Amino acid sequence: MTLPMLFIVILLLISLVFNGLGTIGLHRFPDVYTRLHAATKCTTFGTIFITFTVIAYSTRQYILTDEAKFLNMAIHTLIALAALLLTNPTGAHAIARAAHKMGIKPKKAVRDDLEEADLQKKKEVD
Amino acid sequence: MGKGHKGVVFMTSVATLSLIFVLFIVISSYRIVVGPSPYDRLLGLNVVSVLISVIFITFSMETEMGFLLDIALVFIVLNFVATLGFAKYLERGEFR
Repeated sequence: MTLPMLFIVILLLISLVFNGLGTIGLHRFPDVYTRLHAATKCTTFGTIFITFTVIAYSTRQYILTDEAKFLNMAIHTLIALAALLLTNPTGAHAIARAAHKMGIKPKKAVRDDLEEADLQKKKEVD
Repeated sequence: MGKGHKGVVFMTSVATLSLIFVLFIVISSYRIVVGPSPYDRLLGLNVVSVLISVIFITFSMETEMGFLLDIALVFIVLNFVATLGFAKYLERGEFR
């Protein structure tokens, strides 16, 4: 295995570790908000690294074989990365907002700033 | 060993590592089946979809088929639409 290939495998390993941490967090944490925190952050970061893996691989193949297919692959991976970076945090925010609106409390929480702000707003309207 | 040869060690290591993602999908499916609230199930679905698109991206690298990346992109966007729709539905109890 040559040095660039080793670099690609190390990038893949980093992605694997972070996705695994996200999965373990999804399995082990006590309530919705902590699970969101673990799962979304770690899977987004792991997916960034897997796109880096594919970009590094296709750039290397493009330099070696000079086929346009690999440049195409790198650009498509970049577009997929941009889509993931835009959509994944937005979806997590929507889930957390829905859970809080339907009255799911964070476990062991001492104070809830968002609920206090909602109460304040209601008072001002009245 | 021609130009741009990938090597057996590299291919087997990439294939083995991408098999572990399937294990992650199985672990995340636990949250879909036994999630206490609907939001946990939705989150599990989200994570499983992201991991499936990761497998698509890895597989496109293994087989050098570029169209798998387009499938992964469409999967990510559809996952986003589904998550937003379900979150809105669970927020109010009805579509608005």
